[in-house]
Amino acid sequence: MPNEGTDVEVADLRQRLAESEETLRAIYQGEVDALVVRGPNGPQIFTLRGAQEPYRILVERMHEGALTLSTDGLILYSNRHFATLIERPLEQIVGRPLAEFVPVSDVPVLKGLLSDGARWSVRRELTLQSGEALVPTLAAASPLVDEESGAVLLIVTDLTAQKHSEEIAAAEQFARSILEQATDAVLVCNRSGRITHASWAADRLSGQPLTGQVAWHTLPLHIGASELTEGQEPAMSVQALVHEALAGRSVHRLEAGLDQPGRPRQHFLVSAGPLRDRTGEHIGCILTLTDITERKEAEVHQAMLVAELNHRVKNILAVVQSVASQTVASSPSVGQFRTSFEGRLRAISLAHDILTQLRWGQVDLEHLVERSLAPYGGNARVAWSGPTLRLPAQNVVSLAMVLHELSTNAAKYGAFSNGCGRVEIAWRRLDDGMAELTWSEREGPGLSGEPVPGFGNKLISRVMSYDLQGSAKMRYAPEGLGCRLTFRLPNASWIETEHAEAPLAPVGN
Amino acid sequence: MTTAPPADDARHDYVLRLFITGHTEKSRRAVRNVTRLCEEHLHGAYDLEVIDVYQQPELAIEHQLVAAPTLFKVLPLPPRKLIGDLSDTGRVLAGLGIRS
Repeated sequence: MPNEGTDVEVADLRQRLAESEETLRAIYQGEVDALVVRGPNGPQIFTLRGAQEPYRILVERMHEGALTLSTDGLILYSNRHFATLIERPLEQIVGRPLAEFVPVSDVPVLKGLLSDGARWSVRRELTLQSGEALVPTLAAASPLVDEESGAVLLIVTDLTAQKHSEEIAAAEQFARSILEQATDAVLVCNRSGRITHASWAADRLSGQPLTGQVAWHTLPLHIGASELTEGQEPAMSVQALVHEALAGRSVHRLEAGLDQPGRPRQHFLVSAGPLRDRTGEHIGCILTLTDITERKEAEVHQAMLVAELNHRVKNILAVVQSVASQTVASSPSVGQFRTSFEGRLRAISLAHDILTQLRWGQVDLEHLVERSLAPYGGNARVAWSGPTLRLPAQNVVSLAMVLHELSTNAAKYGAFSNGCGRVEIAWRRLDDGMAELTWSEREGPGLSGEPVPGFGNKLISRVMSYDLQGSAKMRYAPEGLGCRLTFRLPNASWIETEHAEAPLAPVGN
Repeated sequence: MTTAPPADDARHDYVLRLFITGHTEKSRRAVRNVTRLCEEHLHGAYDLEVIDVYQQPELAIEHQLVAAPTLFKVLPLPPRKLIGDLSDTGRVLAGLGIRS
């Protein structure tokens, strides 16, 4: 109905007139700060109080967040930077409580800032909620002079970059401590192979600070897949190893040797791998050297021992085999074979016992004589004398066997076969690097004629001539068997200053 | 169904836009007054945005703003403008059509 439409129009016009009048009144009565005018380049704001302008521009342009807060935490003003900091549109900030943009954990800090900041300047670290993320900030609060209830001015500085630097510094320090403590030599290189970090052990190994040098100009490592001998070509150069690692390929525990002037060769296990940053980019590589020199030396030493042992076992087996076959040939019965063979084995075994006790070092001849003749009556039946003579291990077995044969024969037919016979043993040095040992039996049963070469005598001659590069001469004197043995010894065996002597104990008939 | 005009009831959603001039005294007062009024009389059933004309002058032109501070009632209709720091609570309530 036409009247209704007109009524609405009139009401609307009345309203607009009222508003215009109200606007003019407010301007005249100074209730307004600024006017909005449409200019040729867009909207222009005319400020009616000009003195505030430079300050306002400063606050808008600063690279920190600036807020005006009521003492109960209501945001009365926010600059542009604060809106950027918390990722909120400008028009959704003023009129809200600042607590809306602070995580629950930091609300007590905010409360403290507001209560203290209303009275004096105070500075606290405050976390802000920025979308999903948290932003660490330093908030400085100070009282704002206001004619009504108190207000607080808050300047908020983003600490993200600083915290990040702190984290980096802490990580760097952590990495350095690890490098300091590492017992292995560790090198960290950048993309060009230049060393950026070196562990203390690495510097010590090279004898000079390694940081800043190109990795393959420092330690001259010979890298191979297994044990390297002199003159053998390395499987890989240090430069190639570093390039492998920089390309992203890890290399694990290659054996490497290091030759430095004035030092024996050192052995290492080398590992290398790429160094990546948080995004997975290759930014360098890490090399580790684990010292296995001692282990290597132990391996070599052990191999030598095994070879030596093998050699000796073969020797023994050969000797036993020979003794067995010859004993069989000269034993008329199985029983006799057993007795003879067992006796000879015992002599060999005795010799080995002595050698083992003395760790296969050198044995005094006196000691060997004493042990070999012990079953036959000791000091009551045997006397010996001669200078101190150290026998090398390979002579000990041979002499033990000879002494055993002589003793066994004496027990069967000679001085040990009756109640009063005795044996005198003497040894001395001869001029030509040879030694002489004489075995003289006394007061045994009488013997006549030349000795028949049984196996025992054959063995003695063979041992003396082949094993000991000497000779054996037997003579049957009326008083008993006499035997003169010669054998070769290295010069170092003689010790002139001492003299071993074991005279006969008084014999009671 | 009746076509009676909606009752001026605080429960209906209000859309308000407050235009201020940065951190001047009048602006601070306007913010305090409007937020308190909304809390006390509109009980959360409102959408208030506060716009600094220096920061976003183009929004001022959009709403045909002449001077600031000014409070706009966008909804419920009819649209209204209230100029000044809005300290006169009675006048503001009346202007917004809110019964106290």
